[in-house]
Amino acid sequence: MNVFIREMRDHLKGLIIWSVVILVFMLMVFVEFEAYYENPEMAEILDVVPRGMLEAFGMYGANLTTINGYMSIVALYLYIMLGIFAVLLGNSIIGKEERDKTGEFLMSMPIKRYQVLRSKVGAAVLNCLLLTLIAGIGIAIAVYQYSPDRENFEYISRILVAAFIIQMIFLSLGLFIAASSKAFKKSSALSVALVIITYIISVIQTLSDSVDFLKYFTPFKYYQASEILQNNGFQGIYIGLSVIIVLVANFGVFYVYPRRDLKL
Amino acid sequence: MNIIEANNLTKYYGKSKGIENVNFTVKEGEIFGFIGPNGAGKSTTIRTLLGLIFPTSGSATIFGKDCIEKGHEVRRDIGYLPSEMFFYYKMKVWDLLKYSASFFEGDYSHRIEMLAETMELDLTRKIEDLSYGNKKKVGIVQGLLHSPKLIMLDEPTGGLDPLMQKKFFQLIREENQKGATIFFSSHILSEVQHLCHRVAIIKEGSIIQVEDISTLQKNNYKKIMLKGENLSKKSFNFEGITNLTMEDHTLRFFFKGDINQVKEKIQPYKVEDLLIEDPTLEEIFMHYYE
Repeated sequence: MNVFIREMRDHLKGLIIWSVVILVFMLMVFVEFEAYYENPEMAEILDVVPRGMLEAFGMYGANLTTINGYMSIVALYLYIMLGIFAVLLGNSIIGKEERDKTGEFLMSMPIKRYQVLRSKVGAAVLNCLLLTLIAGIGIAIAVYQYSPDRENFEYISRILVAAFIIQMIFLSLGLFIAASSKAFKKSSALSVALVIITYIISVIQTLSDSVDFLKYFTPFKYYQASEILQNNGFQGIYIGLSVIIVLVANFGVFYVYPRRDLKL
Repeated sequence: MNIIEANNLTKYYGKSKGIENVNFTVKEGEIFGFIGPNGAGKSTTIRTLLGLIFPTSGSATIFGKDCIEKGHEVRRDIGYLPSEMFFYYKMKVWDLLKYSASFFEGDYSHRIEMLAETMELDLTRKIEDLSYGNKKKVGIVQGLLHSPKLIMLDEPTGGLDPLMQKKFFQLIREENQKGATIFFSSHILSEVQHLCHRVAIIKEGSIIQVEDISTLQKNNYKKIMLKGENLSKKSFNFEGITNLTMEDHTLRFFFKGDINQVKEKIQPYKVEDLLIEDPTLEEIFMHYYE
């Protein structure tokens, strides 16, 4: 419990900064929405934009004049931001002990490494959950002026659940990268690259029909906002894939880290 | 009872050797010195014993338990002072020490305050604002706060001024008198000499000698200085003599063997001055490293 509390405190500042950034982003985005909201003329603007470009930004077929349509575009950026937060958090919560050389202190305490990991993973999950909730509160406040209905809130909740699952995927991958790497700088660069690469994969998959299978390699496709809107929910295969990725990565973390030398 | 037993402890970092077939035992209640130059494998040995790194082969027990398998249990009774202090630099000293204490059962507030007072450590400051020496003090308090049965010190005096060193050694002696076993790693021989009962000498990853301090000093070599006219190197060049030098009518050498031999050799000469003393550990040590 002491390690858990320590980690929560240590990451509080980062969580606050990210919360502010996401809140500001959401408020700005929904100020922009004012121009589109129930304004069919604005929707036509998008007709002149090439389809490929719209698809790349997840905007194709979205009805920008409704809350849900607009939200389906915003969701991608929410996913990316929360994903980067999660992957960096996962990487640093383990890697910092070696980066700051505090591992020598912590691991010479009467505690098993797996107990340390348990507390750290717990704190990281809670951080992700809090940030998702804060993003949700931000969105709720931002859309309030457009008098959202029940359907809007349901959709926003689904997006938030999706965002949280995406965070869990990237958190697990970040944890695994840090647990198996002894060079913090490399592992944090690799972690961020992972989010960007999976995003690029999702763009490529959207643009080209010949590489449809790529959709299984990017969490951004698992929870594509436009599809959640169409289907009113998630697809079982992607939830299954998410669970597998999270479990395998965490198994790796708990297997590798307690058995390896600390780099001091 | 043996507090530490290292059995063929070997650690390779990839292909480079850390330590190889290290064997030694540390008995309950003793102050055990572990000496060797930088890079000889002192920290590697300690870190392996603490389970921070894992042995390539061999094993070690502490309090009779395997130091890897039962590491978390064993570490309950170990106080460790690493050679360089790295703490959560944003924390205040007091918070860090409370955090450290939270890993052990019981309330250690009083003990922290007492130790901090002895070491003249300001508990209200932030770790990142502390000097090297003050960080070391935090490490000392942190390592001793739970009154461990085994205290492992890795180059503990670096950064401490002579006065603080003295207080620190006093503290270590007190803990030892209360029953704590001390494992003292250092390359500074004089401090080992004054404090330790036995020493192990480690060189290039292997233990080359484990000996009582007194045996090392007394039963082996004598350091002899002779001053007088007509002295020559030649007449003192016999079995048992090493490091023979002649300078300004002064002959210096180390001797191992029956001292009467030297007495007879000196007999014919008229000497102005004669000094026979125990060599410092430093000098013995240099001998091992030649």
